[in-house]
Parts: sequence; structure tokens; C-alpha cells
Amino acid sequence: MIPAVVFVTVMVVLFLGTFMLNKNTPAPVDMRISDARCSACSNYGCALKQEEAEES
Amino acid sequence: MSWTVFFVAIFSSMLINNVVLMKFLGVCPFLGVSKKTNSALGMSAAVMFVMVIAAFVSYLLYYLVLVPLEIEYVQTISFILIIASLVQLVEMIIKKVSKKLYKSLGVYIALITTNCAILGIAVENITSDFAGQYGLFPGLAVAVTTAFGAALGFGLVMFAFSSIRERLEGSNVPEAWKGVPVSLITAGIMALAFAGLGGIVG
Amino acid sequence: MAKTKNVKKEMSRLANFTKGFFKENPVFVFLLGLCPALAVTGTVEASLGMGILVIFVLTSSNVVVSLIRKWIPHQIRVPSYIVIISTFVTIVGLLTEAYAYALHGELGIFIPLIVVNCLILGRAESYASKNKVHDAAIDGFGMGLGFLGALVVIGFFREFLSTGAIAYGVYLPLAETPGSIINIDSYVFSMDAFGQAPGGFLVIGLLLGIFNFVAILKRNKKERERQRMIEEKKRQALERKRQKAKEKAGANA
Repeated sequence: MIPAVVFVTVMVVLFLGTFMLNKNTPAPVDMRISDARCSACSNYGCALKQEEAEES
Repeated sequence: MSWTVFFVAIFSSMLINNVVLMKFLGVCPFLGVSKKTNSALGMSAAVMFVMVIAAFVSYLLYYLVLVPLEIEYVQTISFILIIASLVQLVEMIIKKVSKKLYKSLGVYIALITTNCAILGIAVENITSDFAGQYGLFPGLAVAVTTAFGAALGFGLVMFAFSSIRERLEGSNVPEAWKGVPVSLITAGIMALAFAGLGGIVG
Repeated sequence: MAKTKNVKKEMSRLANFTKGFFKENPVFVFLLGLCPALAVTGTVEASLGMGILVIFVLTSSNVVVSLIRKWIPHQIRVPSYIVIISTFVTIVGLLTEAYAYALHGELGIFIPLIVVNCLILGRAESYASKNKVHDAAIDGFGMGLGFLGALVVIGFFREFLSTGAIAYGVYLPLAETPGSIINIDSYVFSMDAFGQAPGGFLVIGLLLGIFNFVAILKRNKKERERQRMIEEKKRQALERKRQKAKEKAGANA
């Protein structure tokens, strides 16, 4: 039980760490992905929106 | 263990047990980013990149950490977390290393944080018990090969489907079936074709 | 005054509960969670099982997200949701393994994959993170029921077309001995493909098309009615004008 809790905590911290690290790394100019929700969910509608944004 | 194992792994995970059409993994990007061939190929490249790394890392995580600690039951949560961290890392590295690569893959990398196919292949590599069949490290090689084959299969289907959809754009479809419904029916017919490949490799 | 306000609130709560059934159905309208909708709907019972699991995960994750919505820093909200959801999915996976082993075997890899179901993360992000706990719970339960309904409809068509029967008691502990509700006992026209992979795509595609068709018919009817109303009003206005002109002419004469 205890190793599981410790392990999951470590994983959560790792994930949050990499997430923040990635967020703080600036993207090359004019290639920023604006919609944060897209990164959360490979959502159909969202993907379409990305494609349209790409075109314009 | 002979080389045929790898051949069979690639062939079966690419064509016979195709991720999209046979296992229904990664249907969201399959429908979402297949309007143009270019974006379909970009998505496939990003999936291949992440899928191979994710298979490698999750396999090692399971057999080197979870099994010795006897906490296999946290497999789901640890896999999704390791894959999510991995995607973040990959995105960050791509951002830093190459602007060109980020331009062609960045959008899709961000989209596949929670792609079914990545987690699905990682979990399936564990349930197929490659380590029990071939030993720990040869099993790792088979697992990575399977992931590579699955990604190839994903790319193949994405490419074919996006080409069909580009043609479909100009054709006269009944209004009610325009867009997603006709794409799904097309995918169904493709799946029928792929179902015919079953049983080639025993 | 207070009473009407209360009624209004009740109504909106009811609307909040039922919106997932038809108007905002996650599968048929928003195309969320298509992976499980395609993969586990080979039989009605498997669809039902999957729907129940999703309802549980969706409701509880919505409640927890809503409870801690004020303490989550905005920047890391998405990863926090992923952590919360995967915790509940682990719980659900272990519970099904213990109490419904046949279902666990049938759903297999799609139980861990509930984590990446767009529906759950989408509701956490777009609804639960902005609303009170009881509203979030109602929303989660209603949306989950809508998801379950869609899955069962798909499962019904697929199972009936592939076997000619609707079985029960195979995966869920519904009855002592498995049986079937409808059984036309005919293997003459049963089409295996509908129970397998291609059938999922075909059935969902056809259902979506039929729903679109009905929606288009309804819209056309409404449009025609509106046109008629406008014409009627125009005619009335014209008549009134004529009447007035007539009166004026009469007065002048």
C-alpha cells in the first residue's frame, strides 16, 4: 500500500513538473497553440478547429 | 527466438490487428485530422514518435518498478501519467531543438496527450505478456516492434482514409449523410476489407 | 415571487439533467467517446456495463473537480483532472474485476481507456470546474445516462443484426441463468460482421445519418411554417392597408 502511494505521488509530481516545464518553454514564434483545451483532449471538434486555424 | 518474431509482430499489429479499424483505438484523430492528407501524415508521424517511446518506457516501468514493488494495480494511473509526462517532454524538446519539426508536428503532439492508441498499445504490450514469452529484454524488443507496427498501421489507414475523404469532398452525398456519417460508413467498409486479412499469420 | 423563482430553478435543474439525453447527447451530437462507443457495443449487455462504469466515473470525477475547483491553480488544472479521473478509473477497474469478472474480461483494455474518454475530461473542464457541486453531480449523471443510452441503442442494433437475439445475464449479474429477451432464433439472416469491428463503424454511421435526416426534415418543416407565418402577416398587413385606403377614399368622397 505504502509503496503504491509513494510511487503514484512521485508520478504525479513528475507529470506536474514536466507539464510546468513544457508550459514555461516558449514556443517558436507564430506557432503557438492557443486553445489549451486541445492539449487536454484529442477532441474531434477541437482537432477540426486546429486544422482550420492552420489553414488561415 | 528468431527474426520471424519481429516480422510477425510488425505484420500482425500493422495489418491484421490494425489499431484503428480492428481495435478502435485512436478513432478521434482518425476522424478529426483526416480531412487533408498532409495533416493526416503529420498526425501519423507524431503518433509513431510518441507510441514507440511510450511502449519502451511503459514496458520498462512495469517490469522494473511495478512488478518488483508488487503494485501492478496502479498500472492504469502510472501509465497515463508517464505517457502524459512523456508527451510534455517530447513537446518541450521539439520546441527547443527544431522550429521546423515543431511546425510540422507540434500541433499534433499536443493533441495526442490522451490518444487512446498510445495508452492502448502500452497496456496491450503488458497483457500480451511478451516478457513471459521471450524474457525481459527480448520481450522489450518485441513490444517496441509491435508499437512500431501499430504506428505504421495507423499511418497507413490515416493516409488511405484522408485520400478517400479528399475525393469524397467533391462527390454528391445525400445531405443527411454528409461529413461524419459517410466517413464512418467509409471506415466501416475499409474495416471489412481489413477483416479479410485475418488469419494470414497464425 | 419566491415560488416562481423556485420553480424556475427546479426547471433548470431538470433541464440540466436531461440535456445529455437528446439535445447534447455526447455520442450522437458531440461525437465524444467514439472509441468505446465503437469497441464495446457488440452486445447490449457490454454496452450497458460500459455505460454504468462511465456514469460512475463521470459523476464522481465531476463532484471532486467541482469540490476542489477553487483550490486548483488555473495553470495545472488539466493535469489535475487527469490525475483525479485516473484514480476513479483505477477504482472502477478493481471493482469490476472483483464483482463482475465476465464484464471485466469482455471490456478488457477499454476499462483503463475510460481515462482518455474525451467526454469525462470535457465535462470536468467545461462544466464541473465552473459550477456548484450538486449541479456538477446532476450534469455528470445526466450526461452519463445519455452516453449509456447511446451505447445501448448502438448495442441493440449490432447484437440483433449479428445474432438475431438480445441476450442477458452473460456479462452482468442480472439473472441466475443467462437467457435472451428477443430471440427470433434465426441464423439464416444473422450477419456476423455487425458484431465485429466493421459493424461498429457502419451502425454508428447509419444511425448518425438517420438522426441527421430526421433533424433536417424537422428543420425544413419549421422553416416552411415560418415562411407561411410571414406570408400570412404580410397578407394581413396588406389587407389592413387596403381597408384604410378604402376608408380614406370613402371619407374623401
